[in-house]
Amino acid sequence: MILLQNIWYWAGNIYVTMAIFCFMILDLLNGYVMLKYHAHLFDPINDMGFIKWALTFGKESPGRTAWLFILVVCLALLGVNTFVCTTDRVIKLWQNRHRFKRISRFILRFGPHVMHYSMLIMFLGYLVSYLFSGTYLGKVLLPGKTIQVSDVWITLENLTIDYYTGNRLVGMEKRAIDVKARLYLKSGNKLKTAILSFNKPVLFSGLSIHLKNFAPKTGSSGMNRRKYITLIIKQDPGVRFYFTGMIFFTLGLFMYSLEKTEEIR
Amino acid sequence: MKSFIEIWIQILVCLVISLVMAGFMGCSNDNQFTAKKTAKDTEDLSFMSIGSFAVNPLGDGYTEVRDGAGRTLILVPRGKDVPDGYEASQVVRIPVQRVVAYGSFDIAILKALGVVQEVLTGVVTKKEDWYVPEVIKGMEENRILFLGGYSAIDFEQMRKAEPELVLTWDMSILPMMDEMGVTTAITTTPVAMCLNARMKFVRFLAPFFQKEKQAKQYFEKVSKSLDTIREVTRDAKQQPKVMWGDIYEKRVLVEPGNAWVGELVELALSDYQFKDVFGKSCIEISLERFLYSGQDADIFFTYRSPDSGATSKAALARANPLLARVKPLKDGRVYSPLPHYSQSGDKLDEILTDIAAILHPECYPGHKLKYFRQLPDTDPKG
Repeated sequence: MILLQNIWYWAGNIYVTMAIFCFMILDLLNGYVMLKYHAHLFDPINDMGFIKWALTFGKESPGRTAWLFILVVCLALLGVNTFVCTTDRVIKLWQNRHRFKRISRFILRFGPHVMHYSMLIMFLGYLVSYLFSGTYLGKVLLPGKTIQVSDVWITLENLTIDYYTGNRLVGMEKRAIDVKARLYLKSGNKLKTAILSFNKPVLFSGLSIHLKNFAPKTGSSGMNRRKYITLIIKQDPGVRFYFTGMIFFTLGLFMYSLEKTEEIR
Repeated sequence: MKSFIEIWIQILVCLVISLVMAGFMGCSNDNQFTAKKTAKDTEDLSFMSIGSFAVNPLGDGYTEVRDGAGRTLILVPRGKDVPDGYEASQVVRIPVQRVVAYGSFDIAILKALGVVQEVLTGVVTKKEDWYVPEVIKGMEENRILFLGGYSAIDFEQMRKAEPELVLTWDMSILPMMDEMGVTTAITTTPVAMCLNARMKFVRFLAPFFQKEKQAKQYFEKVSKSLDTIREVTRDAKQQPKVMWGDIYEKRVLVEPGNAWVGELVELALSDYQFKDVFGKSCIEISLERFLYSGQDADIFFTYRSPDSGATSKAALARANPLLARVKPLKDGRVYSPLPHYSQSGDKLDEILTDIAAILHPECYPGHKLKYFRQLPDTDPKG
């Protein structure tokens, strides 16, 4: 029992937090250098998942990828540290609840702890994403064509590419400035028509569909290139954790602000 | 409390030292080929990343590859079952017997692997534009079909070519190829191939044809030429400033610093003027930047071949008067690739040596250029 108490004490110790932060800073500095010179080693994580990446790219170049494994360990330690520290505070707060004259003030005191727990939920989301998300790369759609991903059928109904027609920006003449793809999505009885564009992904039936590329990028350049779009399609169960974490974090921030406002009054 | 802090300081110091050491281990650039690394590269048959490409032998003859677009393909020996979890469009039966290839570098690598005559059935360049004897002969004998320009592929011709595999850069053909039941591998990448990837690309294509031994020989040959270049240019006294690109009617295109030519220039003790530019091959930059870098450059490699107007400095200046402002056109050296240059990837070692000889002629006395031509000031009269 004493051993468990000791472990609990050290796991939530603020000096441990500081040490983890210091080490993370050094590790991330190292990571910056590795990413700058060897970005191609890390790009595949997004579509392969962390475990497969670790067993291939990660294992092939340990000197260049070690920082990422260390970062994962640091984040795990930080997660444990945050959980223990926050839980300690929550327990103490609960034990001292009788000291609060108003229940609202007592509840608002949980604001920082809600934010900490929310951070942990978001960390968990990252973990889930890296472990369980599926990414479909190289999916190409031509106008009128349909592809199937998982149990979803995606049809490109129409592709509209706007080209710069002005003459003030010489370098931009006849270059694409906007692209809009109208998708028709079907999964069982569910149907949806949506406009896909850059930074405007389409969410449907657990999939997030992102526009990666399109062609042609120049209008009437002499080369009669086919119109098409390429997609990145993700099935990411971690997204729910991010959103949940963000909602609770906002709630915690709101509670904290309210408490501080009351203190000032 | 004091002892606690001391312990943590000690732990931190140890961790900092290990991190710094890891940093030194990992921050070397990919183009620094030590003898040790080369030995590993030629012997190791485990997972291998090649720039954005990757080859992952799974055992029992199966290999998983990652193409330039990040798509996963599974290479399955003929007669063996396809493992679970792969779509039909991801499966390639090996050794591949019929290939359509778009890129001249892909075809050159097929030549290096010794399979171009046996497997190539379709190309997107006309017969009169070819300099590879095997391709010309194949087209004459109708074994190799011209499928139309890459932007206007004749899919009926493609069907006649009966490819099992298409090597291409054009992703727009993927839906059609899927319908035809033909697997496609994208052989270009969103960022330019570095020198290491350019040399190792042969090892990406080799498993498709079960020609790993030939790939190893090719890699060793190119690797050796690189070692020789490093050795020969080690004591070069001058570090010429080099630019590689061109000004077109509306665009300025250059080779970025991360491209193999940029890395080679740096490796051969020269200064690449666009080393800070990162991105795809033939990347667009501003005219101002091009002219600024051209102010003090010594050597200029143009993209244009003599066929496309690069016959002399004066001809280049006539084609684009702005180009006349760069120093190499005034009092430096300008080189143009010969027409067969882009189809000679199987002779990468010779191309690298040619470039090194251009950068440091004093280190290569009597060297005759095979793939480039130094442009005279003016076109010969008459």
